[in-house]
Amino acid sequence: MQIPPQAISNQINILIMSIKTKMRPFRHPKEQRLSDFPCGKEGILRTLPAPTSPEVLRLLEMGMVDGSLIKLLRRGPFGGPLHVAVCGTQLCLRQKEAALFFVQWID
Amino acid sequence: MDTFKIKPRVLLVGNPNAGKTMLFNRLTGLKAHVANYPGITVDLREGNLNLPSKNQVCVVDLPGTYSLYSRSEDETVTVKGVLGQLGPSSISDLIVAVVDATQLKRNLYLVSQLLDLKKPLLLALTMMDEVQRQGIEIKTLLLSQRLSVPVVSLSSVTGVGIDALLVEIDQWVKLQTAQVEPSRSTHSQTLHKPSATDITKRYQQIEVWLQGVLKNTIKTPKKKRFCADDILLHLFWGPIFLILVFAVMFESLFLGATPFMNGIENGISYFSNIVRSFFPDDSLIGSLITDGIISGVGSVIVFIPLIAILFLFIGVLEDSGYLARATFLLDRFMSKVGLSGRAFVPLLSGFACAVPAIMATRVIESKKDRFVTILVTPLMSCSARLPIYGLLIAAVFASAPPLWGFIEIGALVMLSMYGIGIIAAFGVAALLKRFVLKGPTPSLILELPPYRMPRWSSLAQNIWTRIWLFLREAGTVILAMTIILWGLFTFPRNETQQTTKNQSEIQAQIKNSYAGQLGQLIEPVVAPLGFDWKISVGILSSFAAREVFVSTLGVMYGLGHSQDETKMTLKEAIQNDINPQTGKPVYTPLVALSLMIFYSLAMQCMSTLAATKKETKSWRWPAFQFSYMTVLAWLCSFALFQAGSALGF
Ligand SMILES: Nc1nc2c(ncn2[C@@H]2O[C@H](COP(=O)(O)OP(=O)(O)OP(=O)(O)O)[C@@H](O)[C@H]2O)c(=O)[nH]1
Ligand SMILES: [Mg+2]
Repeated sequence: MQIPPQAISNQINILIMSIKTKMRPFRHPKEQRLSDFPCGKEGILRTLPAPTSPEVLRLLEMGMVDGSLIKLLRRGPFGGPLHVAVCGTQLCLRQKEAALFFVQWID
Repeated sequence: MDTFKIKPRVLLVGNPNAGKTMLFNRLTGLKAHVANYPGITVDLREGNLNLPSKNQVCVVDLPGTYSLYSRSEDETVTVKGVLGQLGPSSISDLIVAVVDATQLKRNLYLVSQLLDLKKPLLLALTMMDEVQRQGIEIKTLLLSQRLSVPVVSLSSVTGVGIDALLVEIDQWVKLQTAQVEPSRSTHSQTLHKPSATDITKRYQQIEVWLQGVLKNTIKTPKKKRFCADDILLHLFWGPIFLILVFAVMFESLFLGATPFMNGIENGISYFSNIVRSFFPDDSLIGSLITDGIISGVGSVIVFIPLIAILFLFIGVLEDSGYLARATFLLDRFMSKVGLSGRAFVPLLSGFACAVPAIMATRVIESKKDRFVTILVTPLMSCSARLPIYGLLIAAVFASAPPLWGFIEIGALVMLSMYGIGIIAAFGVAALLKRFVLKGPTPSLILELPPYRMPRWSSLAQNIWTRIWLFLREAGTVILAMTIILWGLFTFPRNETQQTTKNQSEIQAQIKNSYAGQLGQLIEPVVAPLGFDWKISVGILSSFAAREVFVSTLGVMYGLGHSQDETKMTLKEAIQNDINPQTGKPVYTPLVALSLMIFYSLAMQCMSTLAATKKETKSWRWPAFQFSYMTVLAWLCSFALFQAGSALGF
């Protein structure tokens, strides 16, 4: 049976695309998890496409929406929570929740 | 006024820390708890408001929420209130959305959900004094046009704009009386779990609403100023400062209160001597009044300065905004134990009183985490334990020379009592979380409020309220217990009716009284902890309230002195109490420590058990709480006393 090369390349393209979109936050060179972001730097907040955890949803409702400007002010002592400035307020959140958000560097 | 008509209601709804309760106090003249920390109000509170047109409305202060999709008990109350499910359904509600004007964007998210409900709505922008100080102008008219609801800007601190708010409320009330049917529409759309796209859409809408509404009147761009958080939340200096704050608190609790306490003590014994001189020596009534009521209640009242200083500190911590910073600094420990970050404030309120602290756990989302917090909160040393610590420390440790010249031993002992409670609370929480109420480590999502200057008038008000509560307890529970105990210590009377008895006869009389017999009955249970029958009576009586321990000793030693000698203060009586068998003082430092540890860990508070029952809606948890705490207290005191005795202390 002969498979047209066109179809194969199409399939591969779709596969690559889907991997790319799935991995998007990890692949993008200028994006980093909020929990790994350096202190004192500002960036653009990126959220996962479909957040399910109630904590993330709450943070979204508190203004941590996709595309907003966020600044990581500091980390708490002994590996404690993060202190961020976003949407005109200051929030603190634990590392676990911060790992569910991504920040895009601005140069 | 028509008494059959139910008053229209005004619901104050808004984000946590937006200033709802302060506005509520302004409007109603009540004194509800205001603090610079999100999530202080956990239940609704109602008050009356007289409008300029002589109409009356009922103002309802609700817990703060970020969204109408509620996750915790306190938020559920608010959502129910907004949907008109609280109280009789015939009442018409006006929702006043209380919006923190310094954080318009975030606050408008809830407003956008409220708008969807299509109910009578009014926006109250609070904190306008702060907005003006920041040099920002808010075009309320423009905002009002865009949202098509009335917008009033005001400040609950200065009172500017309150009148305008009253006028708006008045207009709505007049509309209500004109209408026959209160307009009600139930929209359940926003009460579903919102999706990420829904949230993003709302925020985009808010951007549109806010375009051109905010105007910066200061032309020069803001330079990076010195920020207090740079030091107070510093990796190294932050924890140091936190320790310093608590060190100062305990040192002043100890040093600052002592002169006042001595003053009150002297005043009371002077008063007691005067009263005594009116009665013949063997008069029963005279004994009831002086040895019973005055020594019993008086010995508790002595500790008012301690209570006042404790609440001064708690008040400053709350109002300044430092409490949220302390949560941030200590969160690592909370998460290690498996506690929710939001458990910090309930635990800290436990230093004041466990009952409101247990109610404060309503902000915790997960039920299991909430129960863990409820169960361990009473281990925090509440203000009712202060008189006991204060008395024993003053009697046993006050004469010790300060450590390195400036650290009072008494302050150190006091600090370690609080420390033992904290360690026990964390240890028990870790165990409960591990074995009983298992679950994933909860989160901490906390808004850090701006620093604000504590207002002294409200601090003084708060302290006075606390003193008044304390006095009221002294005048009711403690007074009643004192009279009962006086009776139990006085009867049955000795057959030998001599007018002047010597010291040993009086002692024998007390020992043979009903209370003395009762004490000796349970003495074997607590003897391994180093307690004699007198302390046993005290422990039994303090199941009514912990402070009763002090008044019990007051009555016992008040009765126990012979008539001819001058009256000793309770502190001196404790210092001079000699064990007849050994000839040594009863209250050695070891016994005092063992006793204080017992008090710091034991569950001896009926109101706390009732609060636990109410919040957990079952008898199992209060029963469990009572048993584990009492067993823990007994074991710890036992270990300390036996180890200390073996080491020869
Ligand atoms: N400068 C200024 N401060 C205010 C004003 N209104 C409230 N505050 C302060 O804001 C803080 C929070 O006030 P609360 O009234 O307790 O806030 P709340 O909305 O009831 O908060 P929760 O009960 O936690 O939901 C307190 O420190 C108040 O002193 C205001 O109009 N101006
Ligand atoms: Mg409040």
